[in-house]
Amino acid sequence: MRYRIADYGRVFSTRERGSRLLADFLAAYDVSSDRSIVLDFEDVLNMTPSFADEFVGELLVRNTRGQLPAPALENLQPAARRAVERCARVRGVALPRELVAA
Amino acid sequence: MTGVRPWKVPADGGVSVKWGEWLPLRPAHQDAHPLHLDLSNLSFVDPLFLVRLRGFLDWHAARGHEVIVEPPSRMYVRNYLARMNICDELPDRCTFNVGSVNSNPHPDVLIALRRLRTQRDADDLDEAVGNLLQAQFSGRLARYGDAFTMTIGEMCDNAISHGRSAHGAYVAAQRYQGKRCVLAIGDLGIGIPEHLRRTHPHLTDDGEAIAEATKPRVTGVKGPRAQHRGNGYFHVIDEMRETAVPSGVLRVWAGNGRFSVAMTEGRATMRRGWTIEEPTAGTWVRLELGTG
Repeated sequence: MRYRIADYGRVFSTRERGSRLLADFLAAYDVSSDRSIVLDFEDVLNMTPSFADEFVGELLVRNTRGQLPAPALENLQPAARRAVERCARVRGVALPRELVAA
Repeated sequence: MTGVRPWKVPADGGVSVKWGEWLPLRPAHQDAHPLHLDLSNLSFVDPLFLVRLRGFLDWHAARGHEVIVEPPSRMYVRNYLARMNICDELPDRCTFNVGSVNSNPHPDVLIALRRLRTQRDADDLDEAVGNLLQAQFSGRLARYGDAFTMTIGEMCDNAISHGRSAHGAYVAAQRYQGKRCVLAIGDLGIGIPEHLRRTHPHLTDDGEAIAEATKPRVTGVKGPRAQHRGNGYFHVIDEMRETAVPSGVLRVWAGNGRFSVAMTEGRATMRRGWTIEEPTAGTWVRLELGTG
């Protein structure tokens, strides 16, 4: 499943917005047929670690519990990449290098 | 004028412009009413003054106080206040008219005064910041865009989520000659120290409490979700470090506490929290980024 973040905006700041995007993603994700997850950040200018925590952080945690495949993160700009790295550090989850493609 | 207490704001706040402290936002403030705020001498308006001025009007109006504002005598200051939307949706018991002035948008106004009361307001601000990043943060200011965006996002999220004020949050930003920019965010909520003491009751000193809030994983949020909360201020300061902004100063004022951190080329050159006598309602943040 390929999920294009820029369809929802270019800058993302609040935790509440992260929760909303997570709910939207989970509603679209079909656990029976989707074998992979690609989060496409093309055209996303920036996001806060708090937003990333509620969205990407939650997906990373669900992956560590075996509930979801590991999400591949594509087209992350430097600021957005730092936000994801910070949220992974805070969550204490690994962010495999191969999952993050510039 | 019996019962009227003139509160004359000085033309040049000097050091005070960094804190906007002429505007008394303190719970114990019980002056005679109507409160007369005299801005006639005002010659310069910093974004922090702007957001605190609007907070001042809303704070008093919410307590049933009538506020009468004498507008600035200088036309360019009145133009600026009009341009920054200070008089939009004024409370009923507030009299403040900047007159018929030029309120056309100015390219150096990054964000005219906005109020964030709902998540939809925050989403709209995200969109506006996206436009700003593409249109304004170019040339010498290009390096500041990320720290600017991080500060707006994290601080507004704090104000909406933790501040718990019916007034919401206020935000404004201004660029000066393409060399520096100032961002101010404030709210009339419970303030950082009181919020933090929900989980850290030993932090009785407000200055110490704010300084503690800038460290990772320090939050007033309770429960299992607290494990990955309380990083907003830490991330803001860390973003200034990672992007090596030539010059950045973050100031925070809440309750009786203040905190300030100054960065040069990504290194902290000064960092301290302290306590003052005059408290403020809410939490007020001012970020200044410059080319050094």
